[in-house]
Amino acid sequence: MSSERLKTNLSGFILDNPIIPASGTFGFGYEFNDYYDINILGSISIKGTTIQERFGNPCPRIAETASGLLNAVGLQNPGARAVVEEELKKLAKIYRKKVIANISGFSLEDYVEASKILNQAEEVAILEINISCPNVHGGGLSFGTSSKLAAEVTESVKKVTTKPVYMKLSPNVTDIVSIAKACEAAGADGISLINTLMGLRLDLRKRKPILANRTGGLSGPAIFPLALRMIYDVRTKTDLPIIGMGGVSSADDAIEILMAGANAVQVGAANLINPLACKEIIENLEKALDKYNLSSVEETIGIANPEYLKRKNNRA
Amino acid sequence: MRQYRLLRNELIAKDTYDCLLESDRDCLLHLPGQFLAVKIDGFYLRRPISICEEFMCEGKCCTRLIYKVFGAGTETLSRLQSGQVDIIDGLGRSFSLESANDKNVILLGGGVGVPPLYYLAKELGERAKSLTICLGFKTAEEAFLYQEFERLADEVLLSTDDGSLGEKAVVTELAEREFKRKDIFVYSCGPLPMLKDLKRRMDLHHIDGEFSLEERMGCGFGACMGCTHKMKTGKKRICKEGPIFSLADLNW
Repeated sequence: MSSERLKTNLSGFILDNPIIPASGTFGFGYEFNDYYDINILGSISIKGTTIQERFGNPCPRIAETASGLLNAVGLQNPGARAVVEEELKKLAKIYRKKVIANISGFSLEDYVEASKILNQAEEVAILEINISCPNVHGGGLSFGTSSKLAAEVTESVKKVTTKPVYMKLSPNVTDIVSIAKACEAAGADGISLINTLMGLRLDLRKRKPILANRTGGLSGPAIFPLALRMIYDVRTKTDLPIIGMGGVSSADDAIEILMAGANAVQVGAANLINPLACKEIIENLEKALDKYNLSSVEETIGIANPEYLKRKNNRA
Repeated sequence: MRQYRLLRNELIAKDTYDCLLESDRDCLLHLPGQFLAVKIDGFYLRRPISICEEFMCEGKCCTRLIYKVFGAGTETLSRLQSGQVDIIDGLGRSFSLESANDKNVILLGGGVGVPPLYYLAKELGERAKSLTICLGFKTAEEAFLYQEFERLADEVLLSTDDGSLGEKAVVTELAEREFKRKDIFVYSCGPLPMLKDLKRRMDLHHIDGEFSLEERMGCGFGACMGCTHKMKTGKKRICKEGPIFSLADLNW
């Protein structure tokens, strides 16, 4: 039985605790269910779904970095229809809570069509829209690097769903706050950040990139300070619910992300290194709250962010 | 994850280490072809290393690995002499032992692909009609384990690139000479070019077998899709549906 101290609220979706495995690091949960009962998780952000089935990129898809890894998996997934008709039904047999459906696309139509389908799934509480993908119709620049495109995706997806829409932002931008504000103005119900940072590793023996895709997304503890800075900055300028992530591997890290201003915390790469990562973080969370004299997750949200705190307390 | 005690970690050939780990398990866990995901201090991703042998020793389960120092991670691993090693175990789909029943079995290993075949040779027991081992190394300096194989097989054929040990030949050629016999089944592990050459020769003679494949991995236990290959029967994770694949499934 989970403590009341750990509860958090994402647009009316009440989570027992703020810990959510990040999309792409948890599959549909089955592999982790071999190690622990995944029902302890606050929620799960399922593998990124696209309208069409995708094989993803050729291997190698993984390269190690200092305190992290690059991945170029390429959104391997069975396609939105199969996710709703098969995967989510299968998952519901072992995972009793609602999930966050992560949606990717390479054109506006992709996002809209996939969102329409995921909107039908009763197992889904929130749509998390990944705008780090390159826009193939727009010369390959990602939707997330343009306020205008980010707003367009937000508005178009909002039209086709009744579920809360959280925009998952790319950090590969000059000013993530302006992207977040553009999404907010376009009707986003929440912001999810950060996605991976674009990186490269070379194979010294072969004299070429390790990844078949050339570049990949960097995640892991290496990106934690970057993620924190961006979460903090976005929180300073918005009161929207925020799901924060980027290199979290301990309960203290989770507290840090909450203090910067997040309402919930996704844990990604840590799951690959330690299948028990989320379980350990959840189990240590109350002790961590005690250590830092925090009464609850709710109290912790944005407590290190004075501009936000002022607004939060004025509302209370 | 599971803590294993490091009992031994010794140099047995050029850049090649023979490592014995002990867990608290009171019975064997692994089958031939499976691997461990080994955490090394200072390195983020675990290293997937095939199991060379597993046996009970004074009531504890002992797992033997033979690995080559390839990069900074394995270099660091090779310098450990004692202490705990953090391991995710029980990984991968094993070789099918049943495929060896009443067959003339050939185990073909190249370089660092040799160790998992040792456990397979041990566990095959009396299933096979005959057991022939073909081992290929770059040079005599880099050769290992062949004497131990001699105790398990009817015949051990050795080749090196430079002829410093055994025959100067590619190991796949040694195996192909055996292909005129009937009811052959081949298990193999080694560098991709060797496996591709072997498959080509096996296809010519309509011979069936199982290969152990490798790929750079993220998690090692099937969660991240970092090691997915396209096989004839669909998308397969090298760490989960593999590393062992039957010849018929290979898309080469």
